[in-house]
Amino acid sequence: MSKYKKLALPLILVLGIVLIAVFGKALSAKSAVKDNRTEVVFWHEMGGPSEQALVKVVDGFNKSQNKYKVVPKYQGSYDEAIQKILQTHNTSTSPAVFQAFDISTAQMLHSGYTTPVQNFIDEDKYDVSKISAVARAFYANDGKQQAMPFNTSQPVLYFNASLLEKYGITPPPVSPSYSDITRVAKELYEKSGHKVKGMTVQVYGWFLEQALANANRQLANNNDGHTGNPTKVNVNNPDTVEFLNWIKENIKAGDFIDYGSGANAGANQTAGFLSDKVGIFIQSSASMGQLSKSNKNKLGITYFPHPDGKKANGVSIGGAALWISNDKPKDVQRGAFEFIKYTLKPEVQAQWQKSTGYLALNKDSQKTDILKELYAKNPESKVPGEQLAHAKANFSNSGILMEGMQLTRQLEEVAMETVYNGGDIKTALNTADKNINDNLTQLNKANGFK
Amino acid sequence: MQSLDERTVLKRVFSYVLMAILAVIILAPFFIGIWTSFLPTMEIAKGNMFSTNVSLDNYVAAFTRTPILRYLGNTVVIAAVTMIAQLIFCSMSAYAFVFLKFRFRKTFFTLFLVTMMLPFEAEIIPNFATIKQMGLLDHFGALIIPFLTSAFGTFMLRQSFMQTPAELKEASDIEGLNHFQFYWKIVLPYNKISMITLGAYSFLGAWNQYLWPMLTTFSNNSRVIQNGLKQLKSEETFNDWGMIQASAAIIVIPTIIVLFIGQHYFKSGMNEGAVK
Repeated sequence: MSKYKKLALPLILVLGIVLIAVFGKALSAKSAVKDNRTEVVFWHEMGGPSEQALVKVVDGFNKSQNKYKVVPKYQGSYDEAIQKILQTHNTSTSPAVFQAFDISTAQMLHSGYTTPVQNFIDEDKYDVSKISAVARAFYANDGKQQAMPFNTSQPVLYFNASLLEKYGITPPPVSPSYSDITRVAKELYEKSGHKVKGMTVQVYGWFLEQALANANRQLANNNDGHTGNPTKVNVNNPDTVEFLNWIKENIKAGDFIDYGSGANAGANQTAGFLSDKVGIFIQSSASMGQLSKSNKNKLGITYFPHPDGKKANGVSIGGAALWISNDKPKDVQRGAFEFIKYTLKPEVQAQWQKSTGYLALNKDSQKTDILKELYAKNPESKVPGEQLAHAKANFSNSGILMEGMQLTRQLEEVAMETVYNGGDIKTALNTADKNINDNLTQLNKANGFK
Repeated sequence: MQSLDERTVLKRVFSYVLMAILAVIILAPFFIGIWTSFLPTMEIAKGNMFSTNVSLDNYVAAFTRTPILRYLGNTVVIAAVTMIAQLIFCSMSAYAFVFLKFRFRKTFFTLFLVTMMLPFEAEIIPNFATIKQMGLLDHFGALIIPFLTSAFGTFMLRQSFMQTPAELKEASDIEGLNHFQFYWKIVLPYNKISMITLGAYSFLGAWNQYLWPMLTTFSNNSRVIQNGLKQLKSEETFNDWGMIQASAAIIVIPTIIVLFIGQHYFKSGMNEGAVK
């Protein structure tokens, strides 16, 4: 026993050193293997099954030509990746092309670390008209395309079509108003003998922003930041009040169920929907894959609901875009753009939609066999793409180009939560307004914006 | 007499019931986690916890479809090197603070403690800048070098070394042992329990790191296991919860092994002292 103990420490030491030698060598070997292709490092935040789909896209690009080699590297969540991109700029580790999420657009733009893709679009006379206009407008500023949308989703409304059939309820129209949804939710709750809750809307700032976009209302001044840096935010407006009143009406009627906020709320409401505990919910179109794959019920999908007596303006997008860093040599940046162009090809986008649930951005994707087969199998999966194609881009539905969106969303969620718990709408929105504006003023000051 | 016995029995029954309830509360999430790792994702998504559709598919998927083995390897190397380095450096500095007489000894020790008061999160920005300047980003060095020693380890071993009887030092001086011999042959074996505790502590600390490796690693080649677990989850789309849960179960196993080994040594150490 004591002999064994004496041996233990040196043994561990030797083992550790050997392991380091092996792995260290693997590390350096990786950079030593080099053909004459230009290496284009690509940072992304697609984990899990979407990462596997993304790697396929990259492999496809690498096989399609022999000048460039894209190396995909996963970086963590969207929020974490932003910091890593900003902090490593101008070092050898920094990426040539990277994926940054929707609400970081203003931050990326102001960092000055990126080359607008518009430069390459002009150089190549690349035709962008095939790419969804609403998605493009989100990442454009001053008529210049800053980044190219990649993984894109929109919120849609899902309903349990089998349950509606069972209780003889007329399904909502494809572009429903608030009262259409209230009717279905109430009927479902009553006719099921209070066993099935009618609806839920997750406490999520994105949905509140989308409700405003759909009502053609701008949240921030300077046209939601598209014609200048925003200096004032106005959450307390008639359209937010109408949206929250809609939810409140359903809470009072008892047909609403609150799953709270955060990622767990999303998972819980999906579980509730799949196990017939709630009939209607709003979620990203990217959830469709999961909902249609593991659902014994028939799935119904409609557009995001709009206020009564108003035409739907169309919702803006969520997801992320591809940016090109400006700290890499010209030929690497060129390679990055070639890769971006590849990702937007009709077949690539179609396959991407099929395997992830994100929307195909190229209009020609709808004509590919891949999507035609998908729609033939699940006709309802057409709806999100139609919603995207329907919307005409204007300032209200092209996202909010403002820094500090992460905190803004948190404050919006606080207001929503207050209302869900019986608080007064006006007071909650006034508090949110005050806190968001205080934060915005401070941010603008810190950044030196006027 | 009779009534007294009854009371003690009741007391014992009561405390066992209480402990059983507490054990259930504490262990339930752990067992639910293990249980769900055998269920297909669809059952988990529906909240159908009592499904009998049990299989090892999730584990097979975790090993074949993800680089989890590579991450496990990376983490074992980093945690082992960190642990060994901390044991060596902390024990040496603790030895100096206890057995060597030099000026400002107390002041230096206070300085040591000051670094302990500062949480690691507060040092992230300067540490990141340093690592970046050294060109160690995305390298094992970035994950090891900042943790080669720890003020807590020195503090803990110093307290333990101070318990070493002065007679041992005197006896070794008479025997003519030099400092290194005394350190290696007497102080370390005498304080074996503290050393093992520190070893387990630093290994688990390195194993469970999340924030720092997240910031300093950029590729699968240097990624550690906790970040790898995060990678299995996608941002907005479909998630394979069963496989994620299976991976979580896999990466807990080594920490449990370390704890059991530590506990075994801890027990034997205590018994040795008691028998003598």
